[in-house]
Amino acid sequence: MIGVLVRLQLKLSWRYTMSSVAMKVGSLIMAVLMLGSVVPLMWGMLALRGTSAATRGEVLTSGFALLTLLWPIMVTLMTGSNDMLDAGRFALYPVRMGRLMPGLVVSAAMGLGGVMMLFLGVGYVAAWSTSPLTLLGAVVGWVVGFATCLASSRALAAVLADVLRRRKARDLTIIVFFLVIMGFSVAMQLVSRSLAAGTITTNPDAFFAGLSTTAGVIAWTPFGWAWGLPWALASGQGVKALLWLVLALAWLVLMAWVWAHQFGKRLTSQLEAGGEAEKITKANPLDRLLPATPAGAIAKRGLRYFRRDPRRLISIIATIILPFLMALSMSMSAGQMSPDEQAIITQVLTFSPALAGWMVAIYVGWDISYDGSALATQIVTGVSGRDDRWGRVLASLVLFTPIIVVMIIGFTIYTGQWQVLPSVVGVSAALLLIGMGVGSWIGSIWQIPQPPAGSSLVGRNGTGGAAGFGASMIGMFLPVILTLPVVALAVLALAVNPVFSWLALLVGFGLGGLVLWWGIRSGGRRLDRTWPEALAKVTWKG
Amino acid sequence: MESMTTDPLPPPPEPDNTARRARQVDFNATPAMWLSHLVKAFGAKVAVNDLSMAVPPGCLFGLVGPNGAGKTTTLSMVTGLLRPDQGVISVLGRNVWTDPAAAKALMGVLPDGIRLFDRLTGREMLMLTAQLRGVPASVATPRADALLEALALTADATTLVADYSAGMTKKIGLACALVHNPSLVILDEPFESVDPVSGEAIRSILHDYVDRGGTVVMSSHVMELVETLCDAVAVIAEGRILALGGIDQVKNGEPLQQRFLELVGVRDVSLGSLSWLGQGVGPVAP
Repeated sequence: MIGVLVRLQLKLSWRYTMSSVAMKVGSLIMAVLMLGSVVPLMWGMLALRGTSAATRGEVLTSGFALLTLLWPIMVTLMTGSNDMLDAGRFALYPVRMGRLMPGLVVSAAMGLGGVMMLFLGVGYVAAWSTSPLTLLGAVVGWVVGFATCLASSRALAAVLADVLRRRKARDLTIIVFFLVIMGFSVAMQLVSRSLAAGTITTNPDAFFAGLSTTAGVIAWTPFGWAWGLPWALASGQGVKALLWLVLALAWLVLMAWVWAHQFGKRLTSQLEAGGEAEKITKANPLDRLLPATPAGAIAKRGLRYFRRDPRRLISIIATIILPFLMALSMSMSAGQMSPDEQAIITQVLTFSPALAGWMVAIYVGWDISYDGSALATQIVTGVSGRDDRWGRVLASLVLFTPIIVVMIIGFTIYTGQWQVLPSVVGVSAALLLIGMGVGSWIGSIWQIPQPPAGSSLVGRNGTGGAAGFGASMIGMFLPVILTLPVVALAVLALAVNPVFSWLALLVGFGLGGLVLWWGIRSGGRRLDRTWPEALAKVTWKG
Repeated sequence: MESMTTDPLPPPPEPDNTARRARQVDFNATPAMWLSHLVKAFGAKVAVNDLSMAVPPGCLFGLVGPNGAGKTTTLSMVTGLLRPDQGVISVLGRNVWTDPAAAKALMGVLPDGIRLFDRLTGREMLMLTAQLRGVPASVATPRADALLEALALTADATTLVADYSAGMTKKIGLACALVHNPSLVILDEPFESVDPVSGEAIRSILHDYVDRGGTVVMSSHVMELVETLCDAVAVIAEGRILALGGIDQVKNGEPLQQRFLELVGVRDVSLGSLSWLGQGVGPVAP
């Protein structure tokens, strides 16, 4: 049974990896990055062998505890709902759980992560190989720690699968995952900046004292118990070591039990789209702003999808967050600058809302790809390409114009740079309108199949290979290039004469309107000629 | 099952062919749908192979064939979803591929195997389809209510289509195909996953529609359904027409199922190599 499951897992992973050029390249990069990071890490751990037990304990325990915490999250992120070891896949076969579990454990250990953990484990054991006792502790710690990684990733997947029976919960999870990743990247930025800004260079003692406290706390969490074993042994605390071992084993058993319990349940009860379907009776107040034309119908649908399609909801969140991230990053850099430079930064900061327009532009380009085969129901109505393009732009305009206006006012109040307001409005309008024009045109040429909403937990987006990459690049940078004249006027307003900012406002709207009109017209004409081809391209064959 | 012979079921009644007489179909009238030398290949596989046919107006026309016969491919080309390699398609005199907007305006379409905009509620889908079709809201609203009522979807009109069952999804798709009162309705497997009660409702909707002058082209692989529902039928296999005509003409005095098997070519199903199947199975003594 173990052999069967492992072969199955390897065969399916291999096929998935080899399924497209993008997948092959992506997997190769991933493998190089992961295994490439293993070598310096192992070297570092060997170097730690010569340090004191306290240093080794602090560094190794916190490091491996972090890995144990991230492991199930990473695995869930990467496999998503297309989990080859999902219990539901075995429901039809006459196998009992007891026979499946060993094979599933081994299969879960196969793959890049498992190989990496094997190497890191060797380094970990080597670092603690200074005495027989710590060596033994390290081997036991590594075995229990690695088993905990595997069991907790399976347990998380099993619990999520149970939660995700309901579409609503599935949608919510995708958004939560997105926010967690966003939050994580912001936190990383803050941490790395505060590290760079001080303690480790100016006050190393305080830094290491901090690390020591942190490690002491981490070792007492479920993720650190197993990895702290050799540390406790090396410091001669036999009782603590025993306690950690018992706790670590108990945690492992708990994780394995959660997994086995959910797995056993799912072997006999298939997932269904259960749960109560919600009723939507409220009319959308924005509908009244939209005309009773075919383009209006597409815009109304677009507005509803912004709220009900998690992928599109994420695009709204990203649009709103990006300017703030940018501003945060800029104001943190400003801390180390001269007053003159700070004055410039404050003015540039006022332009942050323009980035929201840029995000909307990128979104408009990909909107049609998110439709999937549902696009057929629109094509059979004979709606013109121009109505399609205009309807999608209209939905984004109705939703995002107020958001961007509020952001512009908010940022200007915050920086107090009212003299640049016309420039800010001009640049924002130009980036938004030009971007939507370019997006309308690009969306008519390149469509990339995307998995339907709710089918995949996270990621696993269609990438479309080289064509998709080229289209993304053009979609991202062509609007910026076309906006440069307006940006130039805004710079002139700052450097030469504020009058130029009114010119930036005028040119921003004029140029933006022109490009938008062109994009809708040429994109629409193109779609009128190529509807069947576009449909074939957006249809997800997953 | 032998023990049941003591209490036999009554013999099935003779099929009552007088229950509904097929409409007389005039194959000389200007066709509602006309296909000429249609060809579509996917790589080396020729899905539709020089297919020509005409569907007379004012009838319920069935397109039948085994799996992979080219039914969906043909209907996709007729509805403007798939570009033919060769051939001409016209719908009520409008060429689908040179004047698609005009042809599509005359058609109502229920495609098979595609997703709907399923994050809309049933009613929203119907109303937005009507708006895409240029039906004013004052006309569309009572039509939507009537269609939802007739298809037993009123109670679920405010539920997202994503939460619908397969049969309900089929029904809301059908409603969308009818809401603009088209001249020709093209339905790909309209009865699949639909429960018998709704199935009956769909039958009577389609009959009334044809009696008032509309034309229906539907594909199916359920012969009994086509036999009792359609006035005319085309049998296709491997992308070619094997038989075409009024239902009685194609049946030629036999049940449609039998005639279909003859036309398509019956494969020998009494396979000796499967003789192990069923050997030694049965209740096991405890």
